[in-house]
Amino acid sequence: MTKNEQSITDKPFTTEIKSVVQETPLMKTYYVSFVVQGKIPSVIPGQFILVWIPGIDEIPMAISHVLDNGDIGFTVKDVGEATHALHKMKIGDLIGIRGPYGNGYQLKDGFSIIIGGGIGIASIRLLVQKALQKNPNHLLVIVGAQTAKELLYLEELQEILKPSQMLVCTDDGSHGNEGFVTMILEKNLLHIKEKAGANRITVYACGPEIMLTNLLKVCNTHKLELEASLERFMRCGFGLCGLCVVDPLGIKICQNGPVLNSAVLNELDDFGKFHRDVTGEKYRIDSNHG
Amino acid sequence: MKLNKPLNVSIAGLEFNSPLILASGILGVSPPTMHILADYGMGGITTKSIGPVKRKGYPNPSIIGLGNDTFLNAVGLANPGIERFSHEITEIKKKEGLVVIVSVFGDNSNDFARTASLAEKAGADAIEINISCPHAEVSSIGVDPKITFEYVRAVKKAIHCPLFVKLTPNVTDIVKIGMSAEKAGADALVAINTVSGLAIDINTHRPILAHGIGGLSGRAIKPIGVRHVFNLSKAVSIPIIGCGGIFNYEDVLEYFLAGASAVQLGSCLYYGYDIITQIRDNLIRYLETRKLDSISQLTGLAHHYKEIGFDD
Repeated sequence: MTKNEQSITDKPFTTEIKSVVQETPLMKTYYVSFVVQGKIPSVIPGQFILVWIPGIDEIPMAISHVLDNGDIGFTVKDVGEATHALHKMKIGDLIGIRGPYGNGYQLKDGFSIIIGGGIGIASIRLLVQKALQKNPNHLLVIVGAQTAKELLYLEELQEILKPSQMLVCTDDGSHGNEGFVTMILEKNLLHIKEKAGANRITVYACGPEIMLTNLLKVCNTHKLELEASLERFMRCGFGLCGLCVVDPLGIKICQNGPVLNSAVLNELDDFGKFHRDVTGEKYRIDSNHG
Repeated sequence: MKLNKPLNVSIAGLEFNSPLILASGILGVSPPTMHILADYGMGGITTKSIGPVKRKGYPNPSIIGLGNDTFLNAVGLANPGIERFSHEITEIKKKEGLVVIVSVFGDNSNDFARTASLAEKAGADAIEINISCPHAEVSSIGVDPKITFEYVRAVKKAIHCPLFVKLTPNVTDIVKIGMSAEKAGADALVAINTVSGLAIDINTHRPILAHGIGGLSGRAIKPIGVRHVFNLSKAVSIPIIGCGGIFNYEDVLEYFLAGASAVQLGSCLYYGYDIITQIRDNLIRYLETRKLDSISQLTGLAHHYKEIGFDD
């Protein structure tokens, strides 16, 4: 996304945590007011914010909730030092927010398959809402997690979606189908294609990178368009530090992503293979890079 | 100078097909991205500052925007170290016509020299030494003419390619430092690095950047850069590469008129790669309109106006 003028929200906007919801044993959703200089942020599903935990770190987080009053919410999984510190914070504590950043999902006409894996479900939540408004009859949501306990927003999704619009899976079979979201997609594809009829099918997804690379293979095989949200280490969020660049297209995950489409994903040598660390050094995702 | 290429410039024997050079610290890690920048109109690129060993730098927030196209950063010289970065230099060098400048630093003059030498072996066309990063230890070098002389001399001895010295504006008299660098063998000066600054959050009462003090870049520092280039160009005879707050072709022209022979772009890439092409095309248009054969003809023209008080 190319901007015309610098955003006032490139500087962390400190704001009190208004409420905290424990979603799963490891995931909490934080709600904050993000009305900067009287402007309610306009958020596209799939965009992210940089969350400053004063004294600790600043980390990218998908925006999962937008309320009418300008409050936004984001769901955090306790996985590292920064997220752990965030998990210890309470209502009234100050955090800094800047953004929203990046290009979100471009919801297209036709049949939509929206897929979330693990904490990646946070990134697709707003898109599910938007798709429900736009074309509820041509929608299938697939969510997966390692175990039943880690299925994010499960009750809410079951409330807003009809059983025919939703498939659930877990790696260990503790809820829904046993297996990965890619397997569930392939298993149901014939049925989905019947439902979609002559409509174009687009898959939208966020989850672990291995899930996304497998998903791209499935989508390529079955000639489905994919939009996937990627994650990379970043410092600035606005295209200057270069740490989130994915080779060889000069694509910056913070500005051109985090959501990229099949045409781009198919050209990326780095997708599923390489990341850059805090120093800018490139390393294989499957290596024990310290 | 070929008449059909009005933006070609020559610095220390290196031919640039555009006077626009990527500034150090911006995007400078991915080889394919450096090649893309060349396609958009950069004549040269400067890598992130590379040191002798891997360095993590400071935690986030390390780069923030302050509004009005102005930024504050304290990355803290994060880099993979010269040994691991060498193959990236070799990759960047594969683009024909792109001048590759490797920015280096170290804990002492031997470190600087060794890192510079390894960078040259990996394919660097020129070495830029960072003695001026305002939020790291190296800033203490670039504020002292004697220490600057020692470091420039050490690096110059270790390499065969041109040596550029990036100067800090956070000094009382930048001209003394520049003259010292010239005397020690610098082939060009780069002015200016970021201006030391601080931003404090009024709700938490805490500096926003994890490191506290940072380096200010962007639109706000352009007049500071133009002034320093002007004063330096009166005092030294080596070329000066102008840097600081360039967002459009007018800014480039100001730096040239002050005495620059090329410029570096950094913060303006906030607006994406297209801004490079826009600046380049507008420069060509300006030269055509004025019937000028080469942008180099503009270097230092503002010095003709001696009646204005230019000293502090």
